[in-house]
Amino acid sequence: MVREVLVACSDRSMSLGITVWDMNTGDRLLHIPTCASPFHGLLCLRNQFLVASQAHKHGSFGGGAIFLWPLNKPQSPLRSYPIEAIGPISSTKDGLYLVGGALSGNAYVWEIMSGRLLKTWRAHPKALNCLAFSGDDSLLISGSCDGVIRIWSMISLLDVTDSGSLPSFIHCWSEHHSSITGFLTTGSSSSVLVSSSMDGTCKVWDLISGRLCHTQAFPTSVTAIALDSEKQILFSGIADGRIFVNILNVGLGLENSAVISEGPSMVLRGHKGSITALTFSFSGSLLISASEDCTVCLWDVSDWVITRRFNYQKGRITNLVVIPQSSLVSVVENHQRVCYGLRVPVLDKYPQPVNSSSGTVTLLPTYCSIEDGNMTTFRSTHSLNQQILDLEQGRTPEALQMKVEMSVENRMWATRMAKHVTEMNRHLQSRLLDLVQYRLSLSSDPDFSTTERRKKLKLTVHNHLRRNN
Amino acid sequence: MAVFEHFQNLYDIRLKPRLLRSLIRDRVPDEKHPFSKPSELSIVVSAVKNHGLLSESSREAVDPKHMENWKSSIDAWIERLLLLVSSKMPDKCWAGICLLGLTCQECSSDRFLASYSVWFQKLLAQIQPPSDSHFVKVASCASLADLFTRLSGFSNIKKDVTSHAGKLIQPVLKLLTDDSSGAVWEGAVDLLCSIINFFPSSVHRHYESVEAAIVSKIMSGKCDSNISKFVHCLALLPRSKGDEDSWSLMLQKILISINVDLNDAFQGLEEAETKSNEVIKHLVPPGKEPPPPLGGNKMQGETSNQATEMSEQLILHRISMLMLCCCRMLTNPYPAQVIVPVRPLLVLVGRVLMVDGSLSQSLLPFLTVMQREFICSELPLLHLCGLDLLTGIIKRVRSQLLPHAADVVRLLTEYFRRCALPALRVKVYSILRILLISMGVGMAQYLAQEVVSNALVDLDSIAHGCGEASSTPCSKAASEGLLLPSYRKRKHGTITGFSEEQQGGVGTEMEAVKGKPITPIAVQTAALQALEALLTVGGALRSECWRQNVDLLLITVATNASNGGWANEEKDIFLLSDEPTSTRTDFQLAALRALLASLLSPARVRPPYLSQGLELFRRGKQETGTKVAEFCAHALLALEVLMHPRALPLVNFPSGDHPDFGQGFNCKFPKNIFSSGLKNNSPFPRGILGKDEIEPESNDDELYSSWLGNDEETEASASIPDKHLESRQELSEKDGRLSTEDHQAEKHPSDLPAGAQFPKEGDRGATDAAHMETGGIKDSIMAQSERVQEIIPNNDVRLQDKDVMVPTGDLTANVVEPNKGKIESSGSDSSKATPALSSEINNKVLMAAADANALPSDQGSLLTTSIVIEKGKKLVLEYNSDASKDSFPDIVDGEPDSD
Repeated sequence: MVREVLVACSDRSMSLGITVWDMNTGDRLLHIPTCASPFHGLLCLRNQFLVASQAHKHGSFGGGAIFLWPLNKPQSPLRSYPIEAIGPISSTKDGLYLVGGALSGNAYVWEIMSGRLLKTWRAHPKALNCLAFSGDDSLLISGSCDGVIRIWSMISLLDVTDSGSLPSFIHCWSEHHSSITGFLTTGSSSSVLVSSSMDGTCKVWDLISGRLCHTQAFPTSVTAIALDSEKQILFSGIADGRIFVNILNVGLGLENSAVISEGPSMVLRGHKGSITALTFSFSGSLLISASEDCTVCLWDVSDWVITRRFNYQKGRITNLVVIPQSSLVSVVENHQRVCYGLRVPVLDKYPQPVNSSSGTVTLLPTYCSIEDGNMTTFRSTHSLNQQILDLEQGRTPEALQMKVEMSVENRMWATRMAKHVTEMNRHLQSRLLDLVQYRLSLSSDPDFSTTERRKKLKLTVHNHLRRNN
Repeated sequence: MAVFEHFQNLYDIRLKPRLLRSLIRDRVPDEKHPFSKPSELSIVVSAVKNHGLLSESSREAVDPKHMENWKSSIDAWIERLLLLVSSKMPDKCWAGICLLGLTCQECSSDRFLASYSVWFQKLLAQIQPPSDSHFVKVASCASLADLFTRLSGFSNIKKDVTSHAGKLIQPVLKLLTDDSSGAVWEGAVDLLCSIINFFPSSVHRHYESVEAAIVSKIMSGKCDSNISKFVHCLALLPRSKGDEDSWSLMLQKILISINVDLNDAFQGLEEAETKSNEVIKHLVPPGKEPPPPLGGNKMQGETSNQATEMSEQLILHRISMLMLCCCRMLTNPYPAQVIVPVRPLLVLVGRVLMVDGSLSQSLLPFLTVMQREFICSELPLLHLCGLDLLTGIIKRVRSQLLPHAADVVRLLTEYFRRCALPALRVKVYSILRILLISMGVGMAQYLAQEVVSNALVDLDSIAHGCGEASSTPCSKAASEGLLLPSYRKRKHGTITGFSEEQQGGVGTEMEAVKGKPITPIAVQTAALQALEALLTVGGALRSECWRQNVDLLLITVATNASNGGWANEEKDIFLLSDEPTSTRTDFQLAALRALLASLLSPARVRPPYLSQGLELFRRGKQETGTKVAEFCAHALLALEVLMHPRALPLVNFPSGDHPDFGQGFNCKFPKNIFSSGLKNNSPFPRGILGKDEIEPESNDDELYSSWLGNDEETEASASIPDKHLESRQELSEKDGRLSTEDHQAEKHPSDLPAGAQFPKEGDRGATDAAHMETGGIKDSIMAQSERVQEIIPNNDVRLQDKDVMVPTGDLTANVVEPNKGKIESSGSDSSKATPALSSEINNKVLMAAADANALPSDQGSLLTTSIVIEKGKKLVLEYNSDASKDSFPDIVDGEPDSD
């Protein structure tokens, strides 16, 4: 099981910073100073970076700030200063695009890898409260403090060629009567969106068709929502500190749209103040809740008891994020560094003109070279078979050349042999002559019988031949 | 010596030296005898490989003496090979080199490490000047490549090997520049690729010269058959430096080079100046030096001289090769994070795709008809390369394409409208598919219309009945088109050719019959795949406009595709051995896949053709051993969940014997998200719409409806309390509690369908919750159920034992919580509690009641009890909205065994 850690931050003061707890042991693993994020202002990018928008104004013009901490080196944050204070932020699941919303209702889209501000536009007339991406990252959902939800197509938002025109939204829903407090998407390609609002309802929408499928009513304002890891159970934290547990109703409502249902199936009590953040750990089956009473509770899903409670005395916690503990490890293995060693630049303050050349390049996502390792295919056998075929059929010039050379060499060898044989022959002849001579000289000797002489001659010739061979 | 040694079996280690020695004796050539049969070598190779004759390793421990024997036989083998390599006879030398390459693959690591440098020197000598046999050089290159491939596995000697590899670069380049044999070039490029792959730093010093050598080969157009290897090598080359800049620089150079060539090629067909300037402007920022031309400055002079006399053919060929190179650069792995100039790439692709051979209006036609004819004949090839490049861009840049996605969509839709050649349409469909899958519903928004309308046109012939007749000729026509002589004359590594829509005798015949062109089967397959992708990501998107048509189309196509029986895969393989073309099997698979997507994709209504689809899948599943059968089995599995959604507990409890409720809350959540989604999709009760209703369900529905309309049933159920009383001793409290609820439900049957109209009463619910924590339920029940007074005491007992029981809202009334101080009921007053009960329970009890009527009362009560216990153990938190009171009793069906 992947061990997970809990990251929490507050919006009270910059000095509180970010605290990281081990969920298993309750130890405080890490404290990152200087951070105060508003609601929905903290997220983890690709399990490598923490990104937090800052609630307090920065600079002389009252601009905003977004800090980014590499998790393996949290001491050196990357500080970006957008032109206005950013409240909620959200990123696509691949961590390539970051969208931030401002109090003015403006929204900003950055490309993280290059830091470019791709788009800024006025998304809502009122302040933005909440931002989210659809399950397939192709739609952006924005919610504002007047309860209006708008759905934007990322493709048309980021269309570089007509960035001049005002982007238009796909859907605009104003069924919520009060400020939006949270969005949930189910993460699959299905188009379910859950929104919660201060008007005391959670609504389930069909993103694609734009239908309101279901409305769940609660006694008071819903301040935080979360889904379990299988996206089936909806946890709604409300203003009096209770957490309601429901099955996520993906709209049993039919054509007559909004079905309103009230009353939860179960209520978790453990907080004294309004719930400020809810999240669900993926591996440990824990529900984590934070409240205005400055505590964080971990609920065991199996029996709904509080297994651990963290006190965070200095202020209310606005953001909770669960990340795998492995991403905190500062020593990255060598090959991983190659794969994941991202460089992330500072986010731009102003959008750049489309046609400038720097606006045309795109940084690629990481590229893994491990796959080369097992690419060991040997070639010579194939080449050998090919060549044998060529040789036998004599179809390529190379094979013909080979054949010619072979026959040349063969002929040379034959010539050499012939020469050799001739040589041998000559030698033999001379020996024979010698022998004849010898015999002639011997023939004068009467003692030698003819048969003996013949035998000796044979033997000599035989030996001679054998030696030559 | 070892001749008389015995061995036990095939696996005996003593066999190996024997085999090796006999190979050396009989098959491997030697100095003395002429080498007549080269095919002997392949016998040697397969024997060595199959038996692992050179591996010098054994699974079990062996006698060192045997090992020694084996070792000495390998020594003899290598001695012989080295002798052969130095032989003057080219054939023997060649044999030695080939077998040395085999030895590099097969021998043990120790031996390899000990002697690789000797082997390297031997092989190196063979590619250098004194040797002049091309055959030997090719073999040496292959063996050297194997040597380095093997060496890449040993990281500890990397430095040494890199220096060895460095020595090799110059001779290899010399091979590339000097020799005139295509086979040697190919071997040399292969070797170069291996070195760049495994020991990139050794090429570092020679980077420029390697680039120049390869580029000159590509530019000259001399090596037609294996040019794609050069292209591949050029694309790999930046890896030798491995940094971001060299990659970008290479791509920049290639793009500029393509651009220059395009200016030449498209003279008079487009406004070359503006388009070219656009690319250059994006590539080279103003005020910056343009990069040196591809292949270095020396090349520049050469090519510009050639340019005048270069034929159009060469230019177009070069463009397509360089585009292929871009594509390879994008898709090959690269160790560093790089900057991809997406915009210039897209502009370039757009520039290529937008030229369709029509004359530019503003320009005077200074093209001869011949020139134009030639360009038009080559344009499809170029377009295909352009589409390939586009695919490469989309694959590599992934979601970072987002800022350019709208551009791509515009380009593709415009191109698609005009594109009529089948091969190109197939490509466009596949790009649309990739885009849809990667960018999801946002992309579907843009492309849905395009995909649907084009697919409707392309699948028209099949959908209208004559498809079965036409599909076979179509495939023939397509494959014949692929073999058109005009396209086969020139060899292109990656391009199979094009088929015109109206090619081939059969095709024209069919056309005459039908009066309209036939869509080749490959296009139909691609269209089906695109539809599948669309349904996968955005089935519900503006579905009222197109969904109905598409669903109908897909069921028709799938039915027609299977009408003539399922295709025989083996036959396909024999018919179309080399050409990677779409077969009937592919088409049938695509049709079935698209059908499954259409059945599963969310829509407003229940899939209308489910039963036909199921029948098709069932039939297809019987084709044992085919892909169709495999897929049909998968489809049936997927549809099973659609037909019979089931609620399973989230957690499999190890301690299933705990009968109490305190086991945990999570098991009360059934996995019925899916089923509730389905309910949602269906505006009608399943029983009405469903064509393949399952038995128990319809029974339940009957019961339910009869109960709704019939008072007699109420009487029947009213008898249950008595039975409960009878069996009270056996019942646990919870059973009693559940039965209480049951009675509640039965008491207000008429309320159930009206449940949807409950007013919102947020605050009141909260206050009620406060006083209900102790006995609220009991009170409410008391208040409501005078008629079942006898139950109340029982209910009381339960309330004393368990702290509180919470029938909540109109959600999940059958949940009972062990209240541990955190759980409370809220928002339920008596009026809500009643309709809140899940109709599921109603049905259960009704069933039980009906049974009880038929059975002796004892059995009846037992039955009720068992159901109740089952409910209790399961702890299902059934979520039934009022509007869908038509209940899904089957949700419970799988439960008993879950404990």
